[in-house]
Amino acid sequence: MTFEEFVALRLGALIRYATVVTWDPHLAEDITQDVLVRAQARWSRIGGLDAPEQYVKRMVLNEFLSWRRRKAAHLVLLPEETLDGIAPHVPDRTGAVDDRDLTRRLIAGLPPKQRAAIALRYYEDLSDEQIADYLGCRTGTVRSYLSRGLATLRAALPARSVRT
Amino acid sequence: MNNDIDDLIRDAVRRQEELAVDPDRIRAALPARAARRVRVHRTRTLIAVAAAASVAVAVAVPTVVLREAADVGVASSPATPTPTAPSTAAPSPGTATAPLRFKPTWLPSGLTEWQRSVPLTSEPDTKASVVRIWKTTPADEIANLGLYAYSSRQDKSPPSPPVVVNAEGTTIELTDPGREVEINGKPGYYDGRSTITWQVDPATKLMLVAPELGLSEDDLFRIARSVQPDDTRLHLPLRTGPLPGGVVAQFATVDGESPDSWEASLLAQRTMAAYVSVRFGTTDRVATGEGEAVTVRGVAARLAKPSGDTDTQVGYRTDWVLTVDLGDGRRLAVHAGSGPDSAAPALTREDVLRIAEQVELDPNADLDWLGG
Repeated sequence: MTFEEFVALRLGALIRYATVVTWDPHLAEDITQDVLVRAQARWSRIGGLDAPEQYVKRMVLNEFLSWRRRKAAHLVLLPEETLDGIAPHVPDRTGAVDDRDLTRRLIAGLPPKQRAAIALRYYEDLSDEQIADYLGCRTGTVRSYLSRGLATLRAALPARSVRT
Repeated sequence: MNNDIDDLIRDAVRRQEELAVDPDRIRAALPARAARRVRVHRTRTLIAVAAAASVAVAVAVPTVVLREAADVGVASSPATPTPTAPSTAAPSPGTATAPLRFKPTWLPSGLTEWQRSVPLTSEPDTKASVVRIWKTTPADEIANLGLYAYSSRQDKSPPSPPVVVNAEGTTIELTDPGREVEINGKPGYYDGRSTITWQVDPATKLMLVAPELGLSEDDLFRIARSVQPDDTRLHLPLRTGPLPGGVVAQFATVDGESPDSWEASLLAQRTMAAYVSVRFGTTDRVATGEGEAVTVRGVAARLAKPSGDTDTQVGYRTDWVLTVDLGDGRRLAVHAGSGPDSAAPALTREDVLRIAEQVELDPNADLDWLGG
């Protein structure tokens, strides 16, 4: 598969993947462009792999995790009460908040590796072992990421939304 | 609602997926992104070279994502300007101009036009943009105002309210999450920061980007709303006929600080197998004085054969660098290369010399727009 063929066939899937992994469409766009430029330079090797798309997706993930380190200083912190408005720690019993939207915002607030693990599990349907390979950690660490992420969501979501 | 948490998460990731931006927008921006990456690399290389008192200078032209297409040449003789083509039309064989299509009719003071780039292929699915870039300081690699015109049907991506987190994992809401907008009655999207994209006609999108320029939102929108069709054509100061090695002309760029300091470049490639770039202008981005002494166009020239150079052109190994001092401050350079893992050069020494002999140059092309 040539680079052009890859872009023509898989760019849509790649940007959707990046949007879920980063949880930010603008950041996903930025990272995807950067990754594609770098991938094109190495396409003679990447294109010869059995699964070039998986390789490029891994580049997106790595770029995201490193991007956050580089760009953290550019982000602006909000007061705690504002954060509480986005991800309330007390279950919302009024039913006014759309559970699905709240879930999306809660996921956005998870630490990056927990969020990446959730994206790889629920979007890519990867096993613990595959996620560990992507994240470069042990399987037990992946289980910890997932467990802690789900625990955070359960604690913050209205009780009516979570079947236990 | 009685969803369990797995269902809620799966639903959330699907909703998040739907916020992905239009792939066409990414595809259209890739050439500029590649060029920016190369320019930054080049700047760093120049600094390193200066520090080491070396004569080696890295030079590159943008790599572009394009399907191989019909061989479209660019002739040297200036053609009579014609009305704006209805689509992102590439220049026809035998012409030395290309349509620019759109321009802002209002810009903040201090911005001058610095670069124009046009696709040279007529493939209907070409995603390369017609690009015009303005800068306040040409030496600044990042801060600029860019107008990109590219083929794209109606945008399907919905407005996307970004929610991001900081390094500690804390949720952060951007001060402006972006929104749908109208530009002169056309649907568009503003990302809340520095980019406005709108569907200027059913087949064309315009993207106005002002990274690191510090423009106010009002000024950014004023620029966008001032954009009008432009029947100006870019006069290209160089032309190549059919090229050896199966390479096909992809796009041409003219950039510089003024009509006295400019460079025109043309990139041709056979994707990931061979490339040729031809540069002509007054700038001295290509070092001369190295390599085999040869005669080209009746003047002394140098033909160098770099070893393992994969930096000059992204994605390729550069096999040949020919530099010609044409006098009067004008220089010509031809770079040629192969796929990085190819065993032998895709183009021969004779191929490179022939390209330099046959390229047609127009030192009198209208470049008055540079710096204006």
